[in-house]
Amino acid sequence: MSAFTTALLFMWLSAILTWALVNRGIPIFQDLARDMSRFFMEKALGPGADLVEGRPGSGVKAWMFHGMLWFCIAATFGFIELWLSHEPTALHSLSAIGYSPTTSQLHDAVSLVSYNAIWMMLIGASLHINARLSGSGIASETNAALVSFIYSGGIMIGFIASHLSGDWGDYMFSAAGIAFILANVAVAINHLLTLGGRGNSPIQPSQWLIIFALIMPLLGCLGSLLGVSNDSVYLSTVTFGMVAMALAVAHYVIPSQAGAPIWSRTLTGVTIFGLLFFITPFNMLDVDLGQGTAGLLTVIYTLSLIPIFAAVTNLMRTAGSRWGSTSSSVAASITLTGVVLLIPVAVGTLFIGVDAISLEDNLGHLVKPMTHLFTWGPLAMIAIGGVMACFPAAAGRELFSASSTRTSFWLVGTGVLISTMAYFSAALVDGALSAAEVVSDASQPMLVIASIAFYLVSIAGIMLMLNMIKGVSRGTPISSGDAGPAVVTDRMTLTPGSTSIRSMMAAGAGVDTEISVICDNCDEEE
Amino acid sequence: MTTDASSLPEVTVGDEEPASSRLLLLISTVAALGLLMLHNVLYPGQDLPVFGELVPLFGDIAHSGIWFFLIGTMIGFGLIVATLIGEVIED
Repeated sequence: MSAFTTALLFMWLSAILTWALVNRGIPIFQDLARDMSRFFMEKALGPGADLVEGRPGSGVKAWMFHGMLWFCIAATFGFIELWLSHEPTALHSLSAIGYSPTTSQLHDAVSLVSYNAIWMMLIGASLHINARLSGSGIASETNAALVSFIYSGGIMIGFIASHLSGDWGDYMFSAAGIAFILANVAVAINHLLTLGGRGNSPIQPSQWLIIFALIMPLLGCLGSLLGVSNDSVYLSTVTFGMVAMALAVAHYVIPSQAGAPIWSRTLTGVTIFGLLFFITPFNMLDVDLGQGTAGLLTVIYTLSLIPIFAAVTNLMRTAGSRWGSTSSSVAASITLTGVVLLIPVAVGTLFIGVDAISLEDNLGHLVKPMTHLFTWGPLAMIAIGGVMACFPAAAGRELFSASSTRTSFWLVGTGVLISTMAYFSAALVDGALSAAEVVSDASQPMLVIASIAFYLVSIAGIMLMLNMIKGVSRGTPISSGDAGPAVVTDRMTLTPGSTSIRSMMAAGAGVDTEISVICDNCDEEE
Repeated sequence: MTTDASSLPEVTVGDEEPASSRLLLLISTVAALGLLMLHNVLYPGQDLPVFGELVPLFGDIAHSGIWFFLIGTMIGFGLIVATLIGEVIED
């Protein structure tokens, strides 16, 4: 059995174990584990826990503010990277003050900051989503707010490390990695405790995706430490985490903003389990998964399109069932745009990924523009949609300006689409010239267009950040009655036991919802 | 014609700002940037002036057009800090 197959089996078994434990709980040790987790989340932190107030919504706001700030920085440096690709000497004057990064250093810095900024925004949205769907609030707001600073510090250290070479760069990368893992473990425990407080209500699709998105990368890391996994499979779990978290946010934002239930339960199940068991080729464009696995990997990559198509179709039909509400909501519009962009990204990365593992490298010149599209298209747009939908509810106030929110949407949409098209054009021209062994700067005008168009994304980030800051203190207050999810499910299934109407409404029930109580052993008891 | 009617000005400006006016501004900005890019594509030999040429104080630093954009971003980050401080003080 190859190392890749072993790693894959380990991940599949881990996924099944996680599903069983979340669904059934930990036998005997359930209460002990819960009490110990609660202790470590707050009391064990000692004076650290007093640094932040655990007010409702503070965790969500902290993650989103940090995420948006890093998003603005990432977009600015992304613009600089694109500009330097056609004018490498543009910032040479900064070498006088010691700033003269190489192309690869700048690329690494932009990749690290953009990926983690989007992750922070998605985590913020996920905390809100899980709390609302569980109907019990976040288990520990204090811990959620506190670890956002740890994660943000990790990004800062990683950003500096990206600009360094040698031992110090490696040490700082290790420190950043430890900060990320610690923060993600804390968030995962917080989510599990929140989920545990939901009572008898069923676990919603978004909650499953959130849990798997957090647990699988941590298990991938554990597998690497134990020697049963390898770096490439670990990278695939990180990519899975990002995609799953983005889809978790999309599965909440679109139905709640549209005010319609998710269209198909079957497609939702296919999305969750398909993503878990097949490796998506997203971001897996230049990895070495070991020799002799190309056939198996190609099959897995291709099958991974099924859950992506299922998710996109499901969410589009959900949005389409109440198109008026969806199109009038900026959050739903930008989220839906990001979801639709998953299709070209999935198909494109499949071709590039298969080309990479076949070692022919005919499409290697498209890796950078495809990564650009994946990061700033689906992921960034869904993350921004999550911020626009969840931040006001967490802060208790609307964003300061509705027109500014809409402008941010148009700026991001225009910027990402034009920059991606121009970037792809430049890459295709470069690839053709390189194949013909011709040296030319014919792609330069397209890179100019790409960089200037991408500037709109950084401006959109700054506008949204300003909107959030003003909204927290001066936005229109949201009454508690309006703050609940607008989605109403047609049918709801309960297991025997007690629950409250509040919990059922938090899970999406309305006055016309048909409630069915399913009990396997009731006849025997009677 | 009554006295009240004659006191009304012939032209007035509405107080309610339509959302589409902002959108029009945005489209205009994007179109202007697009035309600027088109100029660069059609006439690649005629470079646009760079920041250092327009502001002599920065003549030794800003030798590239990127500085026009970076100044916009710097103003944006300055606004974020200023707004944050302003909101905290106001609270």
